[in-house]
Amino acid sequence: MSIKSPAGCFFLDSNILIPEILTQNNVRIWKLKRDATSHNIPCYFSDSVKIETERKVRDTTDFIGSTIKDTLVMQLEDSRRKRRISLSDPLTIQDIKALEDLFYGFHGAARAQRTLTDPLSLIEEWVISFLAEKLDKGISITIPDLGRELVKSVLKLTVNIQDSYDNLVTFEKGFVKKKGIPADPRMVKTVANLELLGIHAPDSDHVASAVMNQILSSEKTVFVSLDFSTILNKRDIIRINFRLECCDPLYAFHHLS
Amino acid sequence: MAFGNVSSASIGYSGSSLRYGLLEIKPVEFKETIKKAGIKFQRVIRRFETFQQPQTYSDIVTFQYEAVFGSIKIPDWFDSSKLVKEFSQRSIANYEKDIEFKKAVEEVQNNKNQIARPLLSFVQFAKTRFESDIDNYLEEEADRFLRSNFPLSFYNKLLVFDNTYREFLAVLEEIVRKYEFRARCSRNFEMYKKHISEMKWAIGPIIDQVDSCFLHYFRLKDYVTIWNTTDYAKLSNPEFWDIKKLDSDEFDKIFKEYNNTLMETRSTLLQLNENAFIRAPDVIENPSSAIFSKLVTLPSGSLTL
Repeated sequence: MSIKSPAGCFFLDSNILIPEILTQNNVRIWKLKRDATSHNIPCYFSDSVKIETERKVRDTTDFIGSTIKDTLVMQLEDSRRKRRISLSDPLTIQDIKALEDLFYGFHGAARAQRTLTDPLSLIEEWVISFLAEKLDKGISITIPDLGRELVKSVLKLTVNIQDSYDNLVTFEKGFVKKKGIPADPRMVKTVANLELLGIHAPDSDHVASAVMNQILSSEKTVFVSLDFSTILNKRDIIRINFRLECCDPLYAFHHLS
Repeated sequence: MAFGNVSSASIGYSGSSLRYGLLEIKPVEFKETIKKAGIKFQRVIRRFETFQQPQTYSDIVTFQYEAVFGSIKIPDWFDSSKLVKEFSQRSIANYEKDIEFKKAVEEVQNNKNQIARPLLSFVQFAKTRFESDIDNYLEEEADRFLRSNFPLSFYNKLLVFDNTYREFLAVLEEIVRKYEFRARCSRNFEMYKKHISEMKWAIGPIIDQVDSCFLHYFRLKDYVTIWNTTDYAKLSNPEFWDIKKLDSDEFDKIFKEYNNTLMETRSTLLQLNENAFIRAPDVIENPSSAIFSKLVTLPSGSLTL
């Protein structure tokens, strides 16, 4: 006897699309895809999710770019000027130490302002490892060479990310399809109510799209997210107020059963 | 691809060259008597000729720059027609210097070496050369980023064009391979001409689409270039690209139009090859991939220095 596939659909958050674009092996998302495929459950993303996904990729690209150009390269040049060493001389261990001072300064300032140090630490790990590897191998590299090599590495990656993004989001060649929600005054009201519950834009737009889909199409909709800090921690209150299930991809299928 | 660079590499990249080599041609057939071991044989030779009044490479390039400079705001210190002349002459000079590419075009038209599939050889030549130059284009954009205050995502969008062009050449290769094979298997010259004509019908719209994308790509780069120098002599390589020197509304409009055409082109190529653009980010080969993956998942607003 065959098992009847449950009726309904999934609305996905940007944090489900991004690992797919980056081809990360996420077990939770892998299970969601397997469930959706084997039971013919449609997976959708809203306009707001598309915009957020694109923005996150762009902002990350720009952050890495500006850190390389406006922080690393400039700091290395300043340090060289202070030490009266030619800018065109190959980089040495002294330059790594100059970068160490730079990052200590940033970490200290971040701690004082109680802001995240993670973004810069990640770039610090990458750049210092990259430079140390070159020096270990005895490869001569100047400041402009270092900047160019780092930027090339990022551009090579982001061009491939664009291909992956277009396949999944722009041309919808993967397991997800875009679903637009027709203009409806109830959408504005839902967004406002979500804001009152402490769910702010763009998350409120994503959740409201799923709520409206459930109302307009009369099909059970599950909003799937990996965001525990702003959406999944409010899943009970969302269910009570909007009759919408929000869950981790691991459990999405079981909310339709 | 770097704008207006003087390297010969840029020519092999030009859509104009492909149009010139593949569409501005017609097949001809003639018989030749040869003598082998004292016996006379008649050999049928088929090759391509340009049309009686062909569009020259120079015509196509000049037309392209007229379209570019006729559709963007020109600074007071430059004259539109002089810009067309300056840019066209540079492009033509590069083409003239590029012996290898000129030879490839001539080979299609004369086929002196009796290559079995001259059109396919021509496309493969363009493809191989483009692929061998793609790292240079990446390097030029990286270098330009370091000499500008544009965000890195802008350069990413420019390089997406390179990726798109690479897919275009792959699609073109398959179409030309198919039709030229059919043409070679033809029973007679009429059938041969028919298959070549069908090939031109098939590739014409794609070349048109890529040409349109080329035009918007050059329009964007040329717009940024002319507002970042005051000297005709420095048009090929301004010292610094300053985004503040641009009219933001005009720049946004030109960038949006480029992006729209780019997406249309990618969509067209995807319809012709459903495996196009499947090039996933390589986590192992590219170490920046690991940090990108972590940064992109951080909360909004944390990506500030």
